[in-house]
Amino acid sequence: MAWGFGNSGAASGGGFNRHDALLRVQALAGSLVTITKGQYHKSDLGHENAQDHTVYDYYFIIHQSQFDSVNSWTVTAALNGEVSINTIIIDSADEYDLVFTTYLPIEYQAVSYIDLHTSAILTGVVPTNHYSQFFIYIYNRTNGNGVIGTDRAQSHLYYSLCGYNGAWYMGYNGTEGSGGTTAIGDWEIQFNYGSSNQVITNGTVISSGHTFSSNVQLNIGSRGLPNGTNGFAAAGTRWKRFIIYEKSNNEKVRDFYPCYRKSDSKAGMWDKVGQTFYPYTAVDAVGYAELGENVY
Amino acid sequence: MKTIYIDSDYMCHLESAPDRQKIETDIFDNMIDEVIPFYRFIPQGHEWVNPKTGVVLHGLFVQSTNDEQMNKIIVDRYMLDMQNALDILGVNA
Repeated sequence: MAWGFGNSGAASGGGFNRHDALLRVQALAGSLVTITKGQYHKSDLGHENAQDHTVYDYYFIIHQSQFDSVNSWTVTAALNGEVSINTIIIDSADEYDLVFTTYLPIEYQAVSYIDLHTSAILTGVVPTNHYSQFFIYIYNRTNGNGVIGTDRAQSHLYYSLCGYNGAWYMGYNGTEGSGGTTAIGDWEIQFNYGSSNQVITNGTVISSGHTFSSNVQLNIGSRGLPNGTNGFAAAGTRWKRFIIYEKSNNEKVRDFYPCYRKSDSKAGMWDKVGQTFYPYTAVDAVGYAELGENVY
Repeated sequence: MKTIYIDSDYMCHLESAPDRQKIETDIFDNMIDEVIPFYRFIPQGHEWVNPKTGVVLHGLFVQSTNDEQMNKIIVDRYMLDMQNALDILGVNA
């Protein structure tokens, strides 16, 4: 089989998907393919940013759909420098896609979204001076879209943002303000951004100049604590990605991607910064997480 | 609470059939019926093996299998609801 990447061979670079790299390789009929874990530079794969020489670990995942005559494939890779090698025999000459995932270990399956139904992701971040950027899809216009927050329900004392009755509501300094409008569709939101502490929804500043701070941890999905009785948890929001930054130095402290743990199907989010899985926590007895389709 | 029917692949259906299991659940209460067939619903205590990956999925597990189609249905329905409301109000008559 002929394939190459990095500087040692002909890198047949393809376009970049959300997992940063897609290589199209050619395999000959009857050939033995060795799958290995290795390292590569983005710039070696034809990434448009030729200056990016960050080293990435990669894992091979071969789309089942590419191999009609084969019923099962297993590709594994290990963390911490260990290499697991699986050998597979290609049945027919064709081109195959090798998809790299650079942010999830093989033990987790990435999905397009997580929707937290009376449940939450407890981020472990106490937002004293942090700003968040997140990407959501609102599909339900009933109350409670897009909740993030730290306070108990009804009090609105602390750090929070949610959609309610068609508007965005944010909690700060013991009060609650509102602005903008919610709607079905994709939203990119910056919360507590910049020196003016702006709240920006799809490019529109809906709040500015208020102080967002809390002495308890920030939750995604539920504005409250996981014991349920004082929580306010939303449905109708599909979380695609959630990033938390320290404002003092713009350092990422969390970079969450929705996923599930393969060993027990537990839904949650993977933090790329800390390389840690955060399972969802039910806010009440019926809390659960709904997931989007698998992404590779 | 809604009544749905799941097949051997745990895909959801709105209609019963001999090979489908009847399920009563409130999980789909906030969803329009048209998107329910895009979900795989594995109840608590059940397992399903993904034939593409070999991964065993344990219930309770709720997963969309086609986001794009679901989103289109949702938006279309929203637009229809909005138009109906405008019609009732006599706007754009």
